[in-house]
Amino acid sequence: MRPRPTNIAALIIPVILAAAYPALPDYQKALMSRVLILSIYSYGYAVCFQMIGVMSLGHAALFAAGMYGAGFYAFYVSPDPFPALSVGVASSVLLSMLLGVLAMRVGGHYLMIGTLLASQTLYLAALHFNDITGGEQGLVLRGEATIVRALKPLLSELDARYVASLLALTVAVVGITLLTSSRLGRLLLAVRDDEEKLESLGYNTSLLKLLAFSISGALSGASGSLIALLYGYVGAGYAGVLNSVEPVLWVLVGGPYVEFGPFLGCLLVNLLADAARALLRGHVLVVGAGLVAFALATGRLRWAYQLMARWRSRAA
Amino acid sequence: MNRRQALSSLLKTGIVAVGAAGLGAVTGYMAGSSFGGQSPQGRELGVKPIKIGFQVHRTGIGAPYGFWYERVANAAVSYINRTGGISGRPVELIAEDDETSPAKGAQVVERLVLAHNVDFILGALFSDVVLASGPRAGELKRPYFAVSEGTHVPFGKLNRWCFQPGITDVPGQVTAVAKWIFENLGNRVAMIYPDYAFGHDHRDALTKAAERYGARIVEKIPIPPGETSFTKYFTRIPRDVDVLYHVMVGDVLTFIRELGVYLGRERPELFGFIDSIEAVPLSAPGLEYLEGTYFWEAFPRYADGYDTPFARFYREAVGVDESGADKSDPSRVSAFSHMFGVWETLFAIKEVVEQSGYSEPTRSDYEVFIKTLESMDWFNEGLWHPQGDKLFNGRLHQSFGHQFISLVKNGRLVVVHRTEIEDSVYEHPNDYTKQPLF
Amino acid sequence: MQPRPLLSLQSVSKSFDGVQALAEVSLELSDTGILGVIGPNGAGKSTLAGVIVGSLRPDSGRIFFLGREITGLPMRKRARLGIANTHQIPRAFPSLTVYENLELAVLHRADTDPRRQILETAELLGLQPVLQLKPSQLSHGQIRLVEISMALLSQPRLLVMDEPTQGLTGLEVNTLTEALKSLGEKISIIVIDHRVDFVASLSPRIAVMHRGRILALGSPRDSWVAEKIEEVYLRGGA
Repeated sequence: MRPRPTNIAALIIPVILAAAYPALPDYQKALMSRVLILSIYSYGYAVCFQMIGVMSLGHAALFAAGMYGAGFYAFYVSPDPFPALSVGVASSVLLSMLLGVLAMRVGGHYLMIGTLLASQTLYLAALHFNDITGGEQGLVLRGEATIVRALKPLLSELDARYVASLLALTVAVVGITLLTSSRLGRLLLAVRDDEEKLESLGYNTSLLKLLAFSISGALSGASGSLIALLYGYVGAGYAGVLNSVEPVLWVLVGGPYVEFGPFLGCLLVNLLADAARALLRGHVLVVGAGLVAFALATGRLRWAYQLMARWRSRAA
Repeated sequence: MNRRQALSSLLKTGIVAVGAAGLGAVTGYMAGSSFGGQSPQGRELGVKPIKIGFQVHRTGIGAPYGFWYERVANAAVSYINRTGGISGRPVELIAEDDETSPAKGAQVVERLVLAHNVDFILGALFSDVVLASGPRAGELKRPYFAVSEGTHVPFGKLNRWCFQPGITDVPGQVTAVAKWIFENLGNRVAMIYPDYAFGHDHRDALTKAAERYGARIVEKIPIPPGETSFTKYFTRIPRDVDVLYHVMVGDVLTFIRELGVYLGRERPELFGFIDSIEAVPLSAPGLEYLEGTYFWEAFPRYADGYDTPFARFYREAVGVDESGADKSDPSRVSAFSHMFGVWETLFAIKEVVEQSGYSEPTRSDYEVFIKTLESMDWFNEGLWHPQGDKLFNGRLHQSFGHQFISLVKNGRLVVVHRTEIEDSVYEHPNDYTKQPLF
Repeated sequence: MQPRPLLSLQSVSKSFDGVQALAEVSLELSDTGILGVIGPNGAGKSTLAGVIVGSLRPDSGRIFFLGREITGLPMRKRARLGIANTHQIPRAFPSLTVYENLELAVLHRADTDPRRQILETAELLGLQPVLQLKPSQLSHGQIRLVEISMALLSQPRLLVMDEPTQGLTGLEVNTLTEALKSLGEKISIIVIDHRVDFVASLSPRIAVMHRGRILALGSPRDSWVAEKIEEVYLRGGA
């Protein structure tokens, strides 16, 4: 079938980001690199929330699994950032599959609480095994373990970070576009719409959810790995509640179109939070909650209501 | 310092943290705006100010400390600007909230350097924020001054651009007080500590000190983070120990109450770190059991504990009364044993800028600045260093200083001993001066 | 030797919170033909559909399909064996277009030409004009036809339809009746409806249900079947 117009629109994101780069002041270049990486996490969350309608409250578990996977490899095994990235993504995919299988055994809607428990477990484990993890204080990676150092012969640190972030985001956006316009994407939407009906057509919806959850894990883990490998730090704080709440805000603010909403939401919340830091001394959550309140008031969150209502009726 | 360390004081002071649950509190700490420190004379003279970026825990779990850190920073900058600035230039303090978050902390460093082009960064208290920020400062080539007590600076986890001249670190503190504990309270010790990096720093330092002084740590009792009841761990305290060493295990009021119920009057000597009750009034219900027990303090909360003209001047400048509370609100107890580090760090920067002739954020000026700082070996006690003189180790980028041991008596802290600087010195192979600067 | 029945229910019971929805129901279906199931509200018709398609698990009794026991088999596996169904309140996927909905029903059969099949089925049920629309843009009756098309496209051996005429216009009912009659020559169909006239026009074989039991099974022209019909509808089945 013809791809929807929203699919195509999303592909403009990387083009605009590349074109705008030279015009940005230095700080905004640095800020945007961070936002681009976090947007990948936002997409990861959206695959779970918007595509299969599962609201996860502990997605930081998947983010942190990627971050620790990549960070441990770079810290303990070899300071080569590129295999570390694969290890990071593999760790979060493994964790998401494990959680997915466990949740399925007890019922699909337990994913919500499952990720929450997993993120708390990960957080506490990171604290307990601090000889390995650095605990709540974290680990600082050597310069050679970062992607920035790997690209340094070619680019300045600022540019290297942006280029790497933009490349990663482009892969994510193209991937999401392919996914939503594929048969698998339509099946995932069907899972979200009416799991039982799809089951009665002979599809294994548990497997589809597991697949979507793993894709979500891969994206979230890629984001976590890249944060570790671009900024040279891993810490238990990233498994904390705050890091689970933020993607919910981004996705809610970004709106119902899964192809570009997660990016827009992440961008908007982070830019406003940054402005607020200077002007209002605000907290990112205040800014995000304000945006969500605004969206609620103007009726722009009806789609999210509906997603959650479906989820509730299924859980009941 | 670390994330959980402030938990108990947070709960006690009734400031409900932003952090977890959702809506962050815009706490509205308006004590001094971003540009509050700018001297009017400086503007009139058209002299370019020295910009000091300040990464401050205004929100998040570190906010109760951040409040005091910011007040002290503003007081110090205002004093510096009233007395001729740094190298005759006014100081402009640019403070930004890091939300006590490593991710946001690193972002604040980027902002301070790339958007504000600050000359120096006055860094954070919580170790995770410091560890995430240090690499960014190193990459952006901006000197970063932690006021954290963490081992990250001296143990070489950061880089040549990171320093901690204004406050001593946990191993230094523990090493110094351990000697006094073993000599005065006894040498069979049980320790109870939080089961994360901060607690492990204590465990490792005390174990090392015990080896050095021939004492014995007979039982090590780690408490998992988030624990709300402690009695089941107390059963592991051997009956025949001389000393129970405790630090920051969680909700201090519950901990002390349960400890009182469990041990009763037949207790070993108790020695604790002030971190557990930092910013908590000793009159808080349940703390009566602490009467007759000992605490480490970095800088005595009660004015008579270390009554020097410099300490009096400092106390007045930061608006803290004789018993360590806010002059305008006596129910708000200060973070007295930590916040002086902000004051002393700012004066360390002033001293090194003036000695090195630093003027612009350029390669050559930074090179001279850092080499000058690394060659410093002493900060004299005075208005600039009211807590006492400090030995500075240029290889470790870390200061070593005096520590205080106080007895809880009649519901106040009474200093019984001040350690010598040598007591806190330890060996570490780290040498930042071998790292390339650029 | 008796030919093996397509579907066989043996003493199947199911109750909800103590209310007996199915009581010891036994039933056999052959490979083709239409069975009409009638009865007033609460007679257990939808529960019967549920235990056959697998959305409900019976409390006791056994169910066989193609000679194989399927009592504990999940819905999707029964679907793959060839049991399709439509619901009392029609269900289509609101996020997908009609075409995409139909595509889902057919795509998991690799050996077919999906596009041709979809267009043929759409033509049969008059859905060509709305193929690119989403269910929210359709009438209730059209959504029902979408669901029926999906069931047909899955090429079932047994089609279980719960109240298929609800919300359909007279014209749509006629189209559907014709389509089902010709389909009934190829596969087995269970049509559950409370409209006796519709069911009677469709099928020579009718099961009359009341309070979880099949009271009568036979042609509506049989006097004893007609009697039961009259009994459950007019006198509340006393």
